Amino acid sequence: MAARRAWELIGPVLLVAAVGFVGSLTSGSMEFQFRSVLVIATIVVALHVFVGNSGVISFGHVSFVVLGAIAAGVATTPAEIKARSLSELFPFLLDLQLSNIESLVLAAVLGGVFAFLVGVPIMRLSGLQAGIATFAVIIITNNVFRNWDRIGPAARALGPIPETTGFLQATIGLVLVIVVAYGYQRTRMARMLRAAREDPAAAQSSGVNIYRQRLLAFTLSGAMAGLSGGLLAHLLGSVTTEVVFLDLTFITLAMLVVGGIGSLWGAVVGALSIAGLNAFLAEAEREVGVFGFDIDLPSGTRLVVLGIIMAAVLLFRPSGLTGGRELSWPFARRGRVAPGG
Amino acid sequence: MTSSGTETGGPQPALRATGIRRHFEGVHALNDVTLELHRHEVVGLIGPNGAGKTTLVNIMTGFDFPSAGSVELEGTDITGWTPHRRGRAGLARTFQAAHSFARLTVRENIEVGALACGARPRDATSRADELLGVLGLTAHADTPAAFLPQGEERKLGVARALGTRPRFLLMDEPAAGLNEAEVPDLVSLIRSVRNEHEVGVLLIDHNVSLIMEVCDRIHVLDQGRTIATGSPEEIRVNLDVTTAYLGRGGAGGSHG
Repeated sequence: MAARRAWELIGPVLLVAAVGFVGSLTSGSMEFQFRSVLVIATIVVALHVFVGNSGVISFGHVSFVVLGAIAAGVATTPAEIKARSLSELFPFLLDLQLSNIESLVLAAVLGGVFAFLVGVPIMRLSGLQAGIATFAVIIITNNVFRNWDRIGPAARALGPIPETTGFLQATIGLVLVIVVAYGYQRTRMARMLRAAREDPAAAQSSGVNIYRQRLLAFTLSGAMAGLSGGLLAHLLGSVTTEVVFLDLTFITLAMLVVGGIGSLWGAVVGALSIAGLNAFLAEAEREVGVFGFDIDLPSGTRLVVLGIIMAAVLLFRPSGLTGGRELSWPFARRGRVAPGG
Repeated sequence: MTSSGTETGGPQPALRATGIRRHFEGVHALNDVTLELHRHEVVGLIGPNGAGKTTLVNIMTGFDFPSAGSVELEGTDITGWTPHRRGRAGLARTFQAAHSFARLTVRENIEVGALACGARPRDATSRADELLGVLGLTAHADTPAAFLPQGEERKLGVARALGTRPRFLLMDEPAAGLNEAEVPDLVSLIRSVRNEHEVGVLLIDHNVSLIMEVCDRIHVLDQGRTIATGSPEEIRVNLDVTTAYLGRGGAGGSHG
């Protein structure tokens, strides 16, 4: 039993380590694509901690990603450049100068605090209402960042941000959020939240305070999303509010759905497969050599193929690639189904 | 109504709904209903469809609020409390349709109530294992609840409720969907909940023979009003009840 449970953590970590290792053998733009895949997967795992355990959809998580990205970017862009190109920033932000790791911690803390503040009113909602309210959060956040030049780059690009998200940091970042997500899933709080996901009335009558459990998961998930925003800023080297907005919101949710909502394994598999495919197709549009063959796809192929594949997965496997179940122990004598709860 | 333990000089710990009214857009779903449930007794709540039975249970467990009247748990006014607060305070319920946590295992389903009421994970597991044994669900312990047969899922509903170590349990139509052969099991289950777990049980069901067999007292609602209370024998011969609920066929049959 213990080995089976540990496998639910070890399996995803091994997969991530393998992706990180293979990616580190590549070079040029392919190497960048591999690092992006790892960072995108970090966002998806963060999203899973709330959406997967609560069953409540959130369109708002990219708010915490953009906050983390801008915070990490502002904190690490050289002061002299900030003084020149972002002179409207609040003075304390102009002076703020953090190390790479400190900036990631700041991104996580701010993501968590923001999620908590937003969650206090919104976590009372369920279903469509919660979806719309979280969508409002990303719209408001985007507008504030795009227009308020005292806290960020507003409509301009923020940078140059030190590009410290190499394979080591990208892999460690993703493994860290996976470990935290797994650790959280093992807690009594997560168990109560998953019970509420399955049946809110029965959970309440069993004594579960659904609001409190949702708020806790939302805050934790927001902190993890903030951290991934920091990693993203240090991956891209420059951030605009438009890069971290609706496209990212929908693609990360799509990855979660394709992988299978409800399990950590689903989040990791969905993110790595769709982000990986996305990266490969992006390269193929610019010509890529695979096993001696040159693949050169016309522009626009990427989104068409991605859309078709995602639709096909949902048609033929509505509960996602993993069926929303955790990775099952491969050495069991009988094919037992590990519960996805 | 049964007196509330006057021999001991004060009221026994009880769950009380007093003067409950509930109006939905001009419809009087409940009209001045008063009901009392003590520990270690089974009270039947019967009445035709639409009599207000489930509304009363919803009000007592916090899923609905009365237009007037109050709910007290062992002397504390809990009328405005949320369902989860009542759950932690010792008031559990089961639902008409099976409400289990489908993707959690049977054992995890039972642990939830214990965990939510503050038990440590290890204690929650041993509590769950104990209830699995009592209810004969041990063989299904690691099965996701979604895969349980209907009869077993109803048992799980009771086990889930008992996981919170309730002092009062409100059971909404536990016999619905069970075949005749499964009813005796339910009878002994309800008796063991009362006798061994020392829980006060409020039992709603349409199966009159079940109600007559297992209840210490019966409370009859019709069109939102209490039309009779008393022992099964008293209810059996009550003309109002016979007319309103049991039909011309008389007592002892089942209505559904």
